[in-house]
Amino acid sequence: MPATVSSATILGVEGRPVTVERTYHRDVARTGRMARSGELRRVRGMQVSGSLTITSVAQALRTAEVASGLDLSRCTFIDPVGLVTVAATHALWCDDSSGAWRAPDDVEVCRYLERMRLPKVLHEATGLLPDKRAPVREHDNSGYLVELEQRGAAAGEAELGQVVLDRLDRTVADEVRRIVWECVVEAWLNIGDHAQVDSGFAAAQVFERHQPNQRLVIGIADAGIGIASSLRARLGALSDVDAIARAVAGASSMPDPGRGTGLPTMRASAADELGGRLLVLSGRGGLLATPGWARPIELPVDVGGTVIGIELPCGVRASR
Amino acid sequence: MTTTAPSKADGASIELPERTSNRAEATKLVDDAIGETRVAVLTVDASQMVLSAPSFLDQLVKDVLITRRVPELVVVSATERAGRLLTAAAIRRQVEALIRFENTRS
Repeated sequence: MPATVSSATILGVEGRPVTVERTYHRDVARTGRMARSGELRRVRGMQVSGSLTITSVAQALRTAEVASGLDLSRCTFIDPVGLVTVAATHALWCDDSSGAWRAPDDVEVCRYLERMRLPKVLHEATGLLPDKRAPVREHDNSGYLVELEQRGAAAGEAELGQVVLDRLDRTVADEVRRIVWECVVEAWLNIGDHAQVDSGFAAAQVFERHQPNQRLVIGIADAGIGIASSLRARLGALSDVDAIARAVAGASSMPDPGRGTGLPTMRASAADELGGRLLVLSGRGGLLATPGWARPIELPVDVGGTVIGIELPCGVRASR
Repeated sequence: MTTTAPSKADGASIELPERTSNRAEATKLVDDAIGETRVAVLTVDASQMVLSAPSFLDQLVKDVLITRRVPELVVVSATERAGRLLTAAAIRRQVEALIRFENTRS
């Protein structure tokens, strides 16, 4: 099966640069396991410190010596964008399939992760469990949660879009519903079109459940080849930050003039039209778009594939 | 091997479903409506369509006006939003002169 090899230079324990080389097999998202080529020199894990949300990813992610790939012990808050980031990235950093990843010290965060099924999804993806569990009552929160799930990339966009729409208050304007549908569908279609994997991760939550302050946060991620790799054949070598900026401006790996419109449409609809946010992460770069503004992000940790985070204020009518 | 020239018809129509999402759906709808027939105008009834995705609408424009070279695409009862997305797709593909809207709704 074709594979993509990538290398990255990271800082080793002693502060010296260490080159890490990985081979991404295309079935990584299905099996969650990642074979690495050659002799692996050193791999660091990912640590989350503080709040991991659509607005704080760059501040919350750290590298750390964690053989199991993931240390959430210092995580104090996490939203669906943080969940899919962790889910899609865990296999990338996991170097020890016999260990246990570190669960949050905060029991409430631990409960939330259980409720959103992060331990279950990571276990299915990598075989690893957290070092501690927080039992949760199985009560029906389906009114505002879309639990984390690994879904097949092919033909799953409509189902996911409907699941997310079902979580919104009935009074949410039709125009807002149309934008939610567009964003979810286009984000999910990108996985099948560009990521070269056959599945991705999705989660969502409605915050402030009642109008007029209802907010919807959606996270969609994959462990695929990433945006820079996807664009390389047409645009040459780009940094992750530059590749993301080009993709959000409409660049595509495909020459068809109708391609490459998904991310620009999401930005225009979610950020500029509704006053929400669009976050795009890939590799070690990112971009956070707010109304009329876009900020590039340098990540301290390689998130591997692509993460899309969308925050939509649903309690206001669309301006057009 | 023998080939048959496409048959000719004045027009054909498509009724869009309540929800549309991916490109393959658009291609199938156009295939089912036109097949190998050459038509002068394709009418798309969007009165039932509530949710649409840009990818679907772009593929509709491509399949009708580019791939099959239908001279005119008439879209009836589309939402304003779908109309904007269809127009944007047609402009990107430089065929905006070939698309017409009737009874656009909010």
